[in-house]
Amino acid sequence: MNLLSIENLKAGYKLKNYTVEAVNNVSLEVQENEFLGIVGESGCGKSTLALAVIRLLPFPGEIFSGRIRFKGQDIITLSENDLRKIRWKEISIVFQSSMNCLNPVKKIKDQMSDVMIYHDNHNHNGAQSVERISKALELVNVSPKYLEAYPHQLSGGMKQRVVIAMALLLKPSLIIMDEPTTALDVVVQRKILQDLEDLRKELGFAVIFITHDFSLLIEISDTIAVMYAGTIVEKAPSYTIFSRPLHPYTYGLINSFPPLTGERKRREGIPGNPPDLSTKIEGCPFFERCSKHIEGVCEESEPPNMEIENNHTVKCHLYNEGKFINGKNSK
Amino acid sequence: MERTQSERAIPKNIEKNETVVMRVENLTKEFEIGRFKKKIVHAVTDVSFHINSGEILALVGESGCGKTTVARVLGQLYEPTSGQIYLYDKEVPKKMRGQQRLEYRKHVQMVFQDPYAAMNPLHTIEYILQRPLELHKIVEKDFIEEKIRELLEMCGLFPAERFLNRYPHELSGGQLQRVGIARALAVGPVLILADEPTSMLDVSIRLGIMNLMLDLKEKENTSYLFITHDLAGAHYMADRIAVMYAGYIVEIGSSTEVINRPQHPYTQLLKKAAPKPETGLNPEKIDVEGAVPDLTNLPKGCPFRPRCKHVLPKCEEELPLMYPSAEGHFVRCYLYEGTSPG
Repeated sequence: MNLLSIENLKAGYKLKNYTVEAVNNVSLEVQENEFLGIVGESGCGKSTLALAVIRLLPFPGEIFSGRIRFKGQDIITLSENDLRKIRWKEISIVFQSSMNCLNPVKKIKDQMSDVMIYHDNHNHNGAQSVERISKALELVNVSPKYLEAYPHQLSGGMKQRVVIAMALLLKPSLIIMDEPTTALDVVVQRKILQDLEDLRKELGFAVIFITHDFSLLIEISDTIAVMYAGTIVEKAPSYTIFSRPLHPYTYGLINSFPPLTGERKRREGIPGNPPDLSTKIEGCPFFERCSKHIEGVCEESEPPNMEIENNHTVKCHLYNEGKFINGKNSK
Repeated sequence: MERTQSERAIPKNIEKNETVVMRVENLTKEFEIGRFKKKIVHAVTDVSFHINSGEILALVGESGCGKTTVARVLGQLYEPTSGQIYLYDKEVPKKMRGQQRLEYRKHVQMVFQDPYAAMNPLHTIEYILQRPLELHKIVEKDFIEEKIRELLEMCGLFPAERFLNRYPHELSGGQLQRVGIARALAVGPVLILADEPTSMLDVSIRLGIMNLMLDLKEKENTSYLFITHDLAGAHYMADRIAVMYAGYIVEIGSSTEVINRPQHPYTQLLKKAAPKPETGLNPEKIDVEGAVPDLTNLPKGCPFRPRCKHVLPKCEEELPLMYPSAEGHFVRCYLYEGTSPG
């Protein structure tokens, strides 16, 4: 059974004169223990999607239509009270800049026990909860001596670890991570991700990992969904998507990351800029930047979502009506 | 200062046939902080390197390693605490004003990380590009507009008319960074100091800016100091790479050498930590503890010693020098003491 399934989700921001459709018809499934990566440029709606999943969209954001089911429960119709029981206990979220999530005038210990008081029904007495918190901190390699510390006494990497510990505190089955390591240095980032992977093997939880760093994502995730202008344009197991990208955008995105090793040779990126999501998009959102766009087709109609091979779906007219041989990309 | 072991650490690897645009020797920059308890931040210590004509030198390191400070000192935004800077073998005075400074900036220009912060939001693109042309008297008044158009189109902003009367906020980050590069190029500099010019930009835009800089390097024969934290980007752009750690240059060499045969334990760590999916899907494990040292209280000896796996007794005693490990490849590590180049 799917842990989380999102069906035709539309979400965005309703402003006075116009509506931004940041998430447009997204369908996704997350299995138990799966590591799903969502990659896209800034403004492609990946953070909106993450927030919509646990209904945390800030005003004026809202979910327009679609269904989100978590363990069979419909998230969209849940009452605020029931939702509170799911948040953190079942689904937790880690944001990009931990500096903004931690309360600067509260000790680490107190912030973490707030999570337990608010989202967990059990009445924890002081000693028990402290023990549990220090265990969670140990999991992410933060010494329990920091229980009494204030956020400013920790380094950026440690703060991020504390936020991850907080997300793990109630042993959720899904953690959503929205660019959790972007603000960190490469070495610290690698170390945290390494520890996260070990923890996932030990505790067994699913992760939705959102980032713009494609090369990092390929190394760490099981499945990758590529998001562009609010829609998921391609989804496949990470190695398949790296070795055989089907959508021209995925191809361009992978090509935009020069490889570290190997020969130095010139690469071409993607021309142009992403479309403005506040205007209605006709046809394929990528056609203006696409080198392979089909005249008279791409700008007219939205491409259907097609499964080209097992677990590999793509949303592109190139693969429509058998015009393209299965699984073969011309580049 | 015991930490600046000045005369000892000059890599004597300046190629004879190529013209050296800029040479930096034992550059040190310290900042004083604290109101009551004065502390000294050793932002940059004893940095020596040179940039050849038409060459890109990448300065790589984590945040807080001093790479931006180097650029800002070279761009005359900070005054160096000690050390010499030579522009075409002429020593640049520590403190410059008026005409002299203007002249220096005609040769050395900067491109900043955040293009929105680097441009006055109240001025049009035309005005922004017109100022350097006027100040440095690059072209006659009647030809200024033509020159601006030429610059914009050179930087990939077509058609130029569409951009002239727009304001910075009306442009996307990538377009504005192109204006930033055009502004730096307006005076025909020999050296451009580019401080993380791509890190604020979107992934799909980044490569375009990098390619633009590579093209302009070919066309104008401009040299670049390219500052970045992205090892892969440095490898793509640069002819040579210098790796910085805690204010020191720990390794410098040709780009392919440093990436394919990293010598310093820190460079090896950086390479391990960087994503490289092209080599397979099992990332190497890193097992280094600790963090970058506090710059107000650097450890004695090698700054990387507390995190290093190969620590030797003498690493705690004294700062290692730059030892040659291959032709034009220098490493600040005792492991390479006494190895002969080649």
